[in-house]
Amino acid sequence: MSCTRANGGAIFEARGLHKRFGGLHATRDLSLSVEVGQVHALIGPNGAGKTTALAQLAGQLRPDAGTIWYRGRDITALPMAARAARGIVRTFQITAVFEEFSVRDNVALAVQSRARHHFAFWRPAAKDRRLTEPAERVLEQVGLTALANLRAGDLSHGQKRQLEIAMALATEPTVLLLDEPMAGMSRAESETLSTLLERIKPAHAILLVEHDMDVVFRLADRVSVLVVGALLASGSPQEVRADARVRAAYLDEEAL
Amino acid sequence: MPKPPRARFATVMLLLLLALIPPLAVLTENPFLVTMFSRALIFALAAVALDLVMGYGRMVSFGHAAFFALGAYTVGILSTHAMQDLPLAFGWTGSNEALLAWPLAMLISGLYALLVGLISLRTSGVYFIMITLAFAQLIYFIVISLSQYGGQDGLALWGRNTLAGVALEDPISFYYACFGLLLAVLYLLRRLVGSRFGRVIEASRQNDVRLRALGIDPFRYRLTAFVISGALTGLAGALLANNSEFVDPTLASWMQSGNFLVIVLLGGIGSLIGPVYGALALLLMEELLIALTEHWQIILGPLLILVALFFRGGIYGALRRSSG
Repeated sequence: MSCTRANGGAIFEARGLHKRFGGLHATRDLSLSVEVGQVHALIGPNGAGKTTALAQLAGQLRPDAGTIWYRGRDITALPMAARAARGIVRTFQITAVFEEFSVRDNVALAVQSRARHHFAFWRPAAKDRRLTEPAERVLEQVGLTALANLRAGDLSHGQKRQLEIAMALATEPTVLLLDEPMAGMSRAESETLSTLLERIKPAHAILLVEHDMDVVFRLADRVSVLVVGALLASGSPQEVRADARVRAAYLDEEAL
Repeated sequence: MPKPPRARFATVMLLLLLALIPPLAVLTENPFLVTMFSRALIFALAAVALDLVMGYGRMVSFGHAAFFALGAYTVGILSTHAMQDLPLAFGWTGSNEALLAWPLAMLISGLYALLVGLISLRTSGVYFIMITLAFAQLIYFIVISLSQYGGQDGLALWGRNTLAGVALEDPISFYYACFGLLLAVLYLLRRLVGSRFGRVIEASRQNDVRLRALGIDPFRYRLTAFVISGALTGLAGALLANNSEFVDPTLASWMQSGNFLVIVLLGGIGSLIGPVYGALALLLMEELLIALTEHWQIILGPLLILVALFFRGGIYGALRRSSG
């Protein structure tokens, strides 16, 4: 508890995470924290272990060592569904939507997950305003209203990415773990999403794994650089940009 | 999903035809048709129940014969005790009343489905298939060993159940009892798959990990669907015991489970109404092929393979597509 306080109000925090897959040490002593009102960007070259780290934070993977804290409580043992139900919600790098449902129904299911009322056997979910109305509002936020009746499997790649975000937002999360949300989006879609993230930032703690450096330096309040599973540097965007080790390991490749 | 008009029309016609089977049988002086079609309705009921878990939740159970047999044996055993006035348990001598025996059949099948589901639903794919099969084989060997209830030879009933005191001996009343129950189950399950609960089941089939990421652990909901499916299959078993006035261990055999799978696939998976088409089609094909040759299964087998290969959505799927 004292550590949480010492960290200055971080609502979500990982301490000393380790994860091995056989001979591969994918996460090495990773510690990071996110505060409400903050975008914390996690960057690093391909294969640095960003997605593995995010999977541990979301509860999809159990770390071999280390702990994860949320609102001052150790949640390391909680599985993904239980963390999501408490407001720690991830999106996926490889797009994962319910392809056979309509766009609206995808978001309505996310609304339903927040309502936590699934043992309802009788009333048609498709006509349930308590599900569809919040779903419509979120669709409008992300700019998918016109596509609400489409089958999710028929969306373009960029639109599916937007739907991913819509579903995550519809669960009304506190902590958002976004795994390369802009990957595969058009310039305009990426711009819409950046604006949206800026707008929701005050009420959320956002961890953003992202390749697009323009996006990272526009949105992030804090940047951590992951290289072969370990933190190389962590600080404000300016500090990280100026860090010689970071430039050598990573940023030069991106022609910063 | 809105139903295309032609598929809807076909279903209305199908149900109308089923409603008219008894008068048609009387008019054409083929009274055996009533019992034959009762049997088809009962298999349709079991297959509709299987479609709930298999079509909507991708729980491919190869063990639904267990629930079928448990339902049938519940009726058989209760009836035997009632007729012979033999104490069954706590001095109770069983019952021949459908309003007691059928719910009890559903309860026992449902409880067994709960046990099977608790273990098998932690797996998926081939493991799920094998575990459900193993639990069905267990029931198969248990009923074979029940020598006081006929063992391998099976158990002949003294007569059909009474329904609220009314005899079901009349094949036509019994037919309409089966038909009414099938319609009721179709309606209830149609509501169920469209509800919030149904959404969770369908979502778990499409993307289990995504569902968990939304904060929903589907296990409890899948288990509930599996228990509902098992209980309804038990009801079908209870009806079959009445229809044939006989129960035997083949009701629990893996071939019986396979039969249900075939009916679902032939009729159209994930549609609920499809299995009704499937049960009737299978019954008609059997009757037609038996008339042609005693080696009818040699023809039926390849025919089913062709359907599986070329009619992915089964008969109902083809109807849906043809009406574009």
